[in-house]
Amino acid sequence: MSDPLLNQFQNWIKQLENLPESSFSEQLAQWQHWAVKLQQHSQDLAPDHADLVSQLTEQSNELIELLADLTRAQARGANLSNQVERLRTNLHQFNLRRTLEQATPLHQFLNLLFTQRHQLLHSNEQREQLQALLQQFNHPRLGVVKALLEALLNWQASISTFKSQLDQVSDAAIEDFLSQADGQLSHEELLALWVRSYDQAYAAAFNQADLPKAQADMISTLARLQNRWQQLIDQYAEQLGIPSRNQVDQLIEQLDQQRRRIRKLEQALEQINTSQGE
Amino acid sequence: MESFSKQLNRHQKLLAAAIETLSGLERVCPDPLDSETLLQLDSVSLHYYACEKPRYKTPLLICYALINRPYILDLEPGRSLIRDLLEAGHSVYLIDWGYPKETDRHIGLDDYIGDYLHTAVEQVKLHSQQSQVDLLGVCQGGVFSLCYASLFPENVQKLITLVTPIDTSVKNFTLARMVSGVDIDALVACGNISGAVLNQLYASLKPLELGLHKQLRMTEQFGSESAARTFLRMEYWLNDSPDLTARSAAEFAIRFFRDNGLVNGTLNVCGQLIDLGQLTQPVLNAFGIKDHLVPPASSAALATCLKRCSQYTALELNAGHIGAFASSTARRKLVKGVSTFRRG
Repeated sequence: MSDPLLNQFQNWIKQLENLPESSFSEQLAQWQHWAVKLQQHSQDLAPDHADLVSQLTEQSNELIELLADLTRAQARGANLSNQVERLRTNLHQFNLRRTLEQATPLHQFLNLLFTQRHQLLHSNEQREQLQALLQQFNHPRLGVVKALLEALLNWQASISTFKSQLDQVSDAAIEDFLSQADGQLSHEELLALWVRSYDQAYAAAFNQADLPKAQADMISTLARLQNRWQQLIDQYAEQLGIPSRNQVDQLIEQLDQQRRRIRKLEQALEQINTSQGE
Repeated sequence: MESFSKQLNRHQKLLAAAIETLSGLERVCPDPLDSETLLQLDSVSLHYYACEKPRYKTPLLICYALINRPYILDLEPGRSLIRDLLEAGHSVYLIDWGYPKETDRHIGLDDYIGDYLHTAVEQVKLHSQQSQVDLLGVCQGGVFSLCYASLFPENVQKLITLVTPIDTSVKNFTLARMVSGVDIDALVACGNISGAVLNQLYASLKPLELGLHKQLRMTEQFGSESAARTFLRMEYWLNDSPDLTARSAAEFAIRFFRDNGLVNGTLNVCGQLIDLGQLTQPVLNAFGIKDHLVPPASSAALATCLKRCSQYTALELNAGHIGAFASSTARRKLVKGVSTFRRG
């Protein structure tokens, strides 16, 4: 049994099919009205899959907006270079919004590692302020804080290098795209071609030295930043008389060594039992 | 060029059909076969799937990777390597590595291969009353199986490696390139590697196709209830990623990936160097020719590492990494290949 709202939506789709083509912006506005309604009533539409209905509607909306954007560009007589730039920009904008709105902080960062081109974190000005601040941290008691800030700056620098590598991937992808695209391709075919061109250029770049190094540096500097942060927390914990993570880890390691000894004893016992049984 | 109206109409229809499908669909999760748990050791368990008409005396033990969950081998009735193997007369045992906890961070390759895998093999021998097993290793599980056969050759009659990485220096091995320069010690200093990180790492091998493009075209997966169920089960599996213990992740990244340990003969497990040249067991090496995660050339390199192997067979499957054992065509060819190999 379909929900009344779904029936209305399906009827509207049929009507739209039979009507003479209305104006581009009117169709888009009507669709967006439906998209909002479907998202608002996702719980009634599919009680066991409300989140998924909401997600699918949002993703359809993103795709339709992208197709609309390409249609506008085409109507203006924009050439393929403009269209691919639009594809690239729009796809990354989608990524940016999606990562910030939907994901956990960890996912946000992880997604950004691989597809993000925009400057999200500290500006040059903020970076300079941080560097100036660091110059003042000369007291030994501030050593851990200073190391943390240095690690942050190193991470920032590595992100910057990685982004410039991704720009080169993007340039190679655009070149590949333009060599294959022509005016006969539908917008969806253009989108698929862009996805293929980008992923191929990205994979090819990983066969060279620079992109793997830039990515590895970025991950390593992030790991070092996390470790510095942990050291700072450990320092505070020790000052407060709370067991630090480092101390807890030492205990876990001791327990693990005990576990191994017990396993060896169990295995030796099993062997004795087996040989006695024989 | 198709008009905007037509494009809009097509996507609206897809969305309407998807909502209609989902409106009548129950919550979907994997639908595995019943099995008997023969062993539970820390997070690790050993499962037995009884075969109604067994045709092989030697038991078949499947060793899955530490990454992702092994129920992909038995996702649902029409998409199950384990069911297909049972129907073909193989008694199947499966190791499930479980979900390591933060306190398991010091568990390393010596524990996984020298203790857990070895204990599972001994348990299978006892249960089946046979003196040897045939080992089928999937992906990283294939590396573990090769190491195990090298350490305990008396326990392994035949070896099957499936989509298993061997040579990490081959061209287009993006995953190996990603691992190569990372400061692994710094990475694992804070603990286990989370499943979410690993998922993102795999998706990043094709960032647009496996990320954004997949999401934008997701409505196409919900055309029918059965297609929707399969898609949702697959997504459930993809997102159900256990963490990797810090020690095993570091050891595997450095000794296997970075040092190309199997090819160079430098992979040290339980105090012994793994020398594939000394393996004498028959080996069936199955891999997907469209595998983007483990390039086929990496798997195929096993042939040149085996010097004393009594019989080596390569089985090329027209599929990707997961498709090699999940897609129906590849699965049929794989099961047929495994049956022929084990009969021989």
